[in-house]
Amino acid sequence: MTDQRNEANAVLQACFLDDDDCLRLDEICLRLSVEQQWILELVEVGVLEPQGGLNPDAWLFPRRDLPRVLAMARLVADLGVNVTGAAIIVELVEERRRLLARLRGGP
Amino acid sequence: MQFKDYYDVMGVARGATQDEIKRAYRKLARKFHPDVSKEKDAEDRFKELQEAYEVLKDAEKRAAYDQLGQNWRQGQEFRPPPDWGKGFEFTAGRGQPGGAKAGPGQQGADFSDFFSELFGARSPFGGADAAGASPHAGFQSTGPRGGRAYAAAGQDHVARVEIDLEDAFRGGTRTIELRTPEITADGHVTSKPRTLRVSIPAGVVEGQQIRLAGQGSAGIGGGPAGDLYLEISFRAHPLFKVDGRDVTVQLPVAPWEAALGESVSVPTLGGSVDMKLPIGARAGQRLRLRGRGLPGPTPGDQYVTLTIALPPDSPQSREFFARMKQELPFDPRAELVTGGRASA
Repeated sequence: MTDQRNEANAVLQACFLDDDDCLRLDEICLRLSVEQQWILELVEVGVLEPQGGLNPDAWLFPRRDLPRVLAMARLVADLGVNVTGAAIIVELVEERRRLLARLRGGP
Repeated sequence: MQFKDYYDVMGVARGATQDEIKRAYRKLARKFHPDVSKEKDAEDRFKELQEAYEVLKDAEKRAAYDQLGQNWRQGQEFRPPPDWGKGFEFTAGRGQPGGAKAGPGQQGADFSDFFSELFGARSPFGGADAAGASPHAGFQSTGPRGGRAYAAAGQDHVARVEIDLEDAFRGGTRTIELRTPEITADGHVTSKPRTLRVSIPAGVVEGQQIRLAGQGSAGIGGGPAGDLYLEISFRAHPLFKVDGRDVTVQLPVAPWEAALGESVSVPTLGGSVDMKLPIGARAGQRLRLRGRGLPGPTPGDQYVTLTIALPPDSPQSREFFARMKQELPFDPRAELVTGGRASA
């Protein structure tokens, strides 16, 4: 990985996020540097809906949720909003972006 | 290094109270938070704001900063005075070397050289809440990262990139510039510009996220690097407008092409194609070219909105239209419901 990061001219292949590309609870915490307790809170208020039933060790989170969770973590840390507030902000920002794109793209 | 005018950054007077500074921070944080802001340079502005607040919210740091004098201007070439930090009584817990604490991706890890030199981990102010600290105190929140259970794997990051519609259609290599915090050999934290050449897969749509494995923060102690997510937006295109995978183009046609239903050449993302107009095509009519939009599991369509263009004015065209008027009596407004004629 380190070599790849330093190779200035290499072309990096970007890939789509597939629906079945999932992360476990411990993986998502590692990747975002957040505590498990915080992810549990997101699940409790329904912001995240992992597959895998009731046991957190069996939970699977779609990778496509990760950027939203990262944005929420920053909003909570930087602006002092609570989890529900951060979720609302992220949803509204996404909706605004969709609408702006449509405004520009409309017939 | 360049001087940073923290009062200017926060838009407060030098004599502002701690309450005023906190209020200014909250207000500007809402405006420039990169996850909310509409400003183009939100990310840089927010970092600058966090850095300014980190100094001004702390009475000791603020007093030391004020001692530099009032004559410095933002961006001016600056060297710290040799006696920097002397004469201050540091509260307990400060002053221990704590460089290792400032990990990549943590709040404040990519503050300016000016900050690192004066208030960073190796400065007299370094230690317990130096460069790794975040300005949460203003909100008294329990953040998701409060416990600092530090992971060995690098963090994931998200960046926004604007690409041309042609790249989304065909796929293409795009060069993007990012700023990434890095720890230098001597323990300083700097923000390093990073240029990546990225192959964008064909068929991305506006708002979609694509992943670059291993391009997030570097791992610590041999841990794997995080991933980088790129959020795609399209640069405005002179011809095509996009909605999801569907593409719309406005197509001017001559009156006789519309009337006779002729074949006309239509630009599409994949090149020009011929399209047969229906006989008697009308202005504003929307015709569909199936599957000519952006590629994907279900490829998008291209919509063609017709406009009727008249030939440029000339004696011949006037004579021709006068003849048309004579030979083709036609009232385009006959169907409009009128409530009698309005008095002038």
